[in-house]
Amino acid sequence: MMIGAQRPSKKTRLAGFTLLELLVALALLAFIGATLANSLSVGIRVLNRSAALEETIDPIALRIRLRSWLSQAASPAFASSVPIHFSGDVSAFEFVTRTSTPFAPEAFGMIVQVVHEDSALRLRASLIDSDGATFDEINGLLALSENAGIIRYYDGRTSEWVSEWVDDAALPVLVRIELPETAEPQWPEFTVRLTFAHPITN
Amino acid sequence: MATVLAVLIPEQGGLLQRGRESQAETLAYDYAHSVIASRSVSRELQPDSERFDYRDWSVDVALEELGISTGPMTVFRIEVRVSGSNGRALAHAQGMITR
Repeated sequence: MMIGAQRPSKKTRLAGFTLLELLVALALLAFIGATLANSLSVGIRVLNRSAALEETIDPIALRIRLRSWLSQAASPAFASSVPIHFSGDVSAFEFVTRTSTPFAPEAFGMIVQVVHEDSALRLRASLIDSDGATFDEINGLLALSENAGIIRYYDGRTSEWVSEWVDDAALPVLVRIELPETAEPQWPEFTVRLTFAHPITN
Repeated sequence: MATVLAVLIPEQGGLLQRGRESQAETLAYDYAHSVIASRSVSRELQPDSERFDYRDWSVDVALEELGISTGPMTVFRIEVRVSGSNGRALAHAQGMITR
């Protein structure tokens, strides 16, 4: 019988991890890693969508503003210290509006130009004072479109749509801008009735 | 942290989805006004209702004659409803036009 030579008990074993503990730790790490990777991937997608959404907000706001400005286009028949005109063809038009603008309340009005160029429908507005002098400009994108759209004008005197407006004395009753479905952001048909247009002759 | 991110980020995705829906509603409402403008020059106005598709949208137009008469003109109330491809109502606009 040996005295003093005892087998080490479980309590006195060297500190360390069992295989099972290591496997559990690895499984936990893998789970956390996968969740993080998934969250990051979703985060990147959200960021991309957010950027795309931000880019489309301004064009839509500008479209709404254009509707308001165009509906209040000044008639060439109005007596004014500023020359008032409306002219346009299939790819561009220009008009003067007296609609007040919150960002420039001191302006007499605006000369607004809508034009399709470089695969984009753009808006340019020049703020004018009572002498007709330009003192500020606004430029904005309405939509991106590789294919040119069509701009048409409804003549209330003949009840016909025309592709060019050169009348120095009257406004068209309606102005319509159409772009293909591929336009970005979406551009559903845009038709505006001009309040100060020549009365319709039916 | 991973759990918090996993909960918060999809929530943000939901917010963006609502942003896109809001854009669609704005465009649909603007389109509804285009329909009203186009109808306002029509020679053959009569009380009627009509449904047609425009791109991904379904459009309902209702014309109702009002009992208001100003000389030779008849006044109509026009109502335009635009619904998305999933049937969700996007816009409802109305106005008055004359014949």
